[in-house]
Amino acid sequence: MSLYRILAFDLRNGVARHWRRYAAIAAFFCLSVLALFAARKAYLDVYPSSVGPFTLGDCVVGAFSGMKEYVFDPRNPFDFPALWLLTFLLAAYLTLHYPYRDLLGVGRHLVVAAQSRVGWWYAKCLWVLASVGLFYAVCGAVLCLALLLDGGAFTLDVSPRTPGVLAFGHAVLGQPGGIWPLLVLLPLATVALCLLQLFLSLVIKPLPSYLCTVSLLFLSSYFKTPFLLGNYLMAARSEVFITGGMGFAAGAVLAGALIIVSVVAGRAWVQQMDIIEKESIL
Amino acid sequence: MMGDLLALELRKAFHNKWFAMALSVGCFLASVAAWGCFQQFEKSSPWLIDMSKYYYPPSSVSAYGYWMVADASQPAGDLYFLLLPLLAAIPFSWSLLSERRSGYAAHLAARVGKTRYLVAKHAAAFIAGGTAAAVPLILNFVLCICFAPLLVPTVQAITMFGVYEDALWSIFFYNLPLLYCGLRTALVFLFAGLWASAVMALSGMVKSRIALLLLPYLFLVLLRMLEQSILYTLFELREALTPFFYLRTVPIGSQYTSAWVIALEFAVMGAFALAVLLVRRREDFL
Repeated sequence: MSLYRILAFDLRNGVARHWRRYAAIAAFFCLSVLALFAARKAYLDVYPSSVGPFTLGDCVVGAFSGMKEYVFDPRNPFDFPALWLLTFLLAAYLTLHYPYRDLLGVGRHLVVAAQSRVGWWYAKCLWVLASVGLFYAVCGAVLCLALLLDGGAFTLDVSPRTPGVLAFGHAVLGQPGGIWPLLVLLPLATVALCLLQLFLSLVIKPLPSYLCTVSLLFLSSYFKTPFLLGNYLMAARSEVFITGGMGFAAGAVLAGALIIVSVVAGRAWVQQMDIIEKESIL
Repeated sequence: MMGDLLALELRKAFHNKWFAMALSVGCFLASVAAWGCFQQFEKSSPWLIDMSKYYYPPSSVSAYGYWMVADASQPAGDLYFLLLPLLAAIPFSWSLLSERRSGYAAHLAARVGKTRYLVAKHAAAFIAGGTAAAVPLILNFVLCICFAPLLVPTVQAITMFGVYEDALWSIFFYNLPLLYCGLRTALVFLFAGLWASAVMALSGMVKSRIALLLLPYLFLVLLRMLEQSILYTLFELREALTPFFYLRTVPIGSQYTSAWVIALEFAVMGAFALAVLLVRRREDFL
């Protein structure tokens, strides 16, 4: 049994059969767009007729805005960016359970039939890639639909007022290349996050690995540092908008390194682990 | 009979590795938060005591102010409260689903009766969840009193504490602070217990144990998102709706803790768990 057949099996059982989850993701992005419109309404209340319809770039930036750098002040306690956190917790949840459950059931037989543990592992890595791709495809579809309803332009240019609407702080617009670095980095860093979680779920089980994901995302929002992956997932901290923001090159290197480490370490772990004695709880 | 059953369930709840894991994570975060406060205390206490006659009274470095519930300066404390609903459900909320799937529930229910079995299960989840959430708070308090004086907070230092008059039970914070700590710990215990019990009540509605624990948690984060991005922006709703904030003292932005919201949420969780228990005792466990 080849890698492609295992992957086809995974896509059938781990994606197609879970269409309800993607429907829930679509519903969530509808709420995300609603939050963006609510932010625009609040901005218009203060600065009337200063914001027109959103562009596609505005919607993308709004959906993945995150929060500007937090500077500790006892009168301003930390308030985690729930919309941003939930977006990536949902992406992480989508890719959390299936590989481990598969290993407790049919996957065990697939490993025997394919006579290749490595093939099973690579198929799971590609399944994560496909799941994240579909996650962003659903997001894109919802944002386009919202744009149609709002009468905005299908352009990736970001309106000058959008950073103000999203409270980015001292935002700078008009970086050469527009938001393309962000558009590349978002899926890349999400794949890195999910692959790291996949590897950890095999080593310490799915639930503790999800706790690690929540902690990583929380710490990323609390500390602006190039070593925490979540910082590259926030438009509000990207160099596209902020002077001294998170750079594309550093983000791509960190995400790439995490992907390579997760795949290589996962491969080594899968080759030596006892798949018969795996426990079934959590 | 009921006592034996409850003892059996409590033994299962407290002697499993998931309870140990939840408690360890909570205690680790509580210790890190206390360590951060200790460093802060070392830096600020000489200045504060020296300047006390001009600006702040000595009580502004009281251990009560460094306690995790009242202090908002430590990321470990913030992370603890973000993870708290998960840490409460991890110890034992999954066990009913697990035992129903393995067939153990049917055997035990046949011997002791379904109602007794379910009541014992929910009670054990309540106590284990509450304990996993409350023990780190007690540990943090003990660590704080190891380095900071246990002075009664004074209102003159209100800006240092951030416990204003609209904060829940703030009158006790400035008059009977030990009672305040007890009440706040009890509130966290009650929330965690009810949450663990309500999550267990969802057992019949989802098939996977991971989904059972994580979906209610994601719902809470969703509620916070709605509160932060839509309800406050559009409707100026100022009451904190999620435990991430109402279990703590320090207000976030212009939000405040409403006793009515807390009472209503606790009542909903308790009523949900009870209603599902009453419905489920008529179900066929086989």
